Amino acid sequence: MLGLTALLIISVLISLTSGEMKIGLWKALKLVFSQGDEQSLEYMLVSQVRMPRILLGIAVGGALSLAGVILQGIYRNPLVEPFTLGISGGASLGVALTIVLGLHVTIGGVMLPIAGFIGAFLMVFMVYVIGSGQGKVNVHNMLLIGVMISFVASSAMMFLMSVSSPDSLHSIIFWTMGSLDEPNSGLIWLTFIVTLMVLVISYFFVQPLNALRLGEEKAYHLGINTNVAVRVLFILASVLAGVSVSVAGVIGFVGLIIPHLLRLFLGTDYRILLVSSFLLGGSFLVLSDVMARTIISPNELPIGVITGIIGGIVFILMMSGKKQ
Amino acid sequence: MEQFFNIQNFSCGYPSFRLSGISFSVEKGTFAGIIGPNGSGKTTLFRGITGILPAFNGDIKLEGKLLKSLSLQERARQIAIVTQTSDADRITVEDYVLMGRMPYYKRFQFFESHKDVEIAQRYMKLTDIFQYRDKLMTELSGGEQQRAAIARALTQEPELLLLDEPTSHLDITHQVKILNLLQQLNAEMGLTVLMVIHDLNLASEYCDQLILFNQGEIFTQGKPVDVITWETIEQVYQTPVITRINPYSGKPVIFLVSEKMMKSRE
Repeated sequence: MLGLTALLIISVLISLTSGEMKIGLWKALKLVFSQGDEQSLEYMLVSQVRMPRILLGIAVGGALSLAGVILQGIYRNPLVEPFTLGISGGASLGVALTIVLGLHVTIGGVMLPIAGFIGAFLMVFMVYVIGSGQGKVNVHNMLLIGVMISFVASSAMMFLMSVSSPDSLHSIIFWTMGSLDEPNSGLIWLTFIVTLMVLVISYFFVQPLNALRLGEEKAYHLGINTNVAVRVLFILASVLAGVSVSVAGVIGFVGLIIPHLLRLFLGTDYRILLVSSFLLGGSFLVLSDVMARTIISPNELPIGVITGIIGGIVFILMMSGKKQ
Repeated sequence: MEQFFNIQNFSCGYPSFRLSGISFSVEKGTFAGIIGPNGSGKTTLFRGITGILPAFNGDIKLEGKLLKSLSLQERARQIAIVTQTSDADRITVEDYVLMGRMPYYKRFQFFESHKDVEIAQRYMKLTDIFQYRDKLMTELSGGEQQRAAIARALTQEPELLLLDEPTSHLDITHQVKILNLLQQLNAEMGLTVLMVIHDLNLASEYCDQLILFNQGEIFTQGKPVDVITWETIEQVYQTPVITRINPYSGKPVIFLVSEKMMKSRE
């Protein structure tokens, strides 16, 4: 746990100093803590560009990993990730609709995350209501319905893309690939605070999560009200995924591989997994963002590309290394 | 006097199959077995008692208290359950057994206390799995997993231990090892045991009291010598059998007879 905290701090420092314009470590830290020359380009860069991205990276990476670890826990299925349940599909659909209708131009850029959140919320609501219709939650039904709704949403989105203008198409695709570039600092803080709050709340459900490792019936035998626990945890995970997808777009893979990596090395105890997922997820996304900014600088790669390629390769290497 | 464990006119089940009018009671310190053919309702009753299936009718009382009036946590402190398979994830044996303390955790208690660890270790030693405590559950054999499940159940420090076919996947060595363990717990700790069991001879040998299910109802119940008779078994299982008495234990034993032998005797 200490190691992971250290990793997060190192990631933040790397992110502060590297980029198109290199800033020395000391200088960067001074700029963060003791204001410095408020007119300098370096100050502007650190306070207006890099710090917000780092904050958002920690929040979104942490939120997605935490959502992934929770969902994998309640579904007892290692292939579930935050976006399996139609959350990304719903958010993308909401955003695509906004772009096609031009609402983000008439109302303002804030409309995109709002539409994303509404889309995600509606999808999750549908999954929840249909999946837990008869009083008792049926996690398998919920999972299947989530996957189906995801398909419906992505097909609807493809339809929208096929009828939209090249300009809108470009915006939609870029949004879908995900980015930590968010101009509204209020939204960044909101994401950060919501994620931390959910982390704290989810910790009160570590015992149910641990018991659910044995299956719902056995958890129930141990005195856990699985019905309530699964519902609350599902809502918590949805909030995490919904908020991060609406602010940062679809950044895939974080929610899938971070929990896996941690299970591989730290075991399956959720008392450890919840916090460590948050820390490692945050570090991973901050570092991925550094790569996205620097590899083809001064241009920027979509961060989803980095998380997918780097994350996937690292994961495969670790899996094959662990077996020997 | 109030009976220890009492089921009165109980009914539960699924749309296609239901138990009806189930009444029986088990005295404290009894080793009781539920027997019956496949599909006779043994496991349905089990799921009714554990609360997985809602009751349509009737009451279940433990020490005079209605089970449904207890919270899930209170219930888990009174009744511990061992199912057919342990179905465990990648959890170390010690962590698995420690989960038996979960019903005792306070609302915001995240970590086990020293006392919890002591209790878990005591029952791991008793069930002879202490040497595996750092292994993963998935690395244990079927018999060892079942012993770990029993250790977990004992760690709940229950009044009543419910088991659903605890020996069904095991060879005779491990079947007898598990049942001897249960018998020892029953005798030394006074633990009341109620288990669903398929094997009639093992049921007869180990149980003080048998409840025979047939088609969703109790066919008969009583001491093994009264339940395991060839008339009863032939009627319920529709299979010809011969009964004898085990010369060592004095308990009834059944023998199956092949169709060819039956014909040659006629």
